[in-house]
Amino acid sequence: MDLVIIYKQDNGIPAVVIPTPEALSARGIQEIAEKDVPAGKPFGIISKADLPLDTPQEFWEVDEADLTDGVGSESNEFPAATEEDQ
Amino acid sequence: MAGGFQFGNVPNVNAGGQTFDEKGALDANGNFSIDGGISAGGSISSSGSISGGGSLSVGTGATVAGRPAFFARASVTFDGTNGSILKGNNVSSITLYGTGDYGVNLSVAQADANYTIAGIAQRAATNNGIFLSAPFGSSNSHSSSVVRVVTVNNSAVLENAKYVHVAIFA
Repeated sequence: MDLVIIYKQDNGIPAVVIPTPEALSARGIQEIAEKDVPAGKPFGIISKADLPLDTPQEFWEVDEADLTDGVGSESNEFPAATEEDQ
Repeated sequence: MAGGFQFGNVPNVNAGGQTFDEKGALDANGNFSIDGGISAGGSISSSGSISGGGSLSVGTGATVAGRPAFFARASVTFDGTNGSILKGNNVSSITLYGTGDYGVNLSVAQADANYTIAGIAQRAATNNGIFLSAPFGSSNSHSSSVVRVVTVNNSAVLENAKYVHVAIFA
């Protein structure tokens, strides 16, 4: 099941963040979400199959109360790898 | 060579029935030399280095066949209609902001946002064209970690491209 990250932009349109296979393998979707979602924005991780791709994105709606999987971090860099990661 | 280390420091060392000739040496100052070079016809200058794990880093002033060479800092190919990523290098993810409006999120950020962007887009339909552009506006829409691109049709209206190819150089 392909997972994607969604968050609500300031203009109200939901944005979708789709990880590359390379980054997903190296860092996992949670770290990618925290890095690539704008700072302070709550995000949700959902199945890509749940996206209404047959409808223009401008008409999508998302309730921020449902975005409970994390919040975008201040940094746009991945955290340094720890010894446990190596 | 006090404090250093040599590989087969004495020619024709016999170990367990196998014979080794000296091929390289690491001296006390951290200099490593290899007899015969890295590969035939190739060389590594003092501005570059090779580390373990198969990676190669090249400092400024790299040349190929005597000509300046600058390698892509990141590249990606993705389906603009659904965000499926075919291949990414130094790209952590793609953000779909809206119709024809994309962000390429870099795994390792650049030093600044003044890099060069190259790319093309492909329209799914056979009539008319589609163009890859930076977002409209007079200010630099890119950051050191996010490359912003849009795809527009002949009427300058945002439209999802079938395929989007982006590379950056710095």
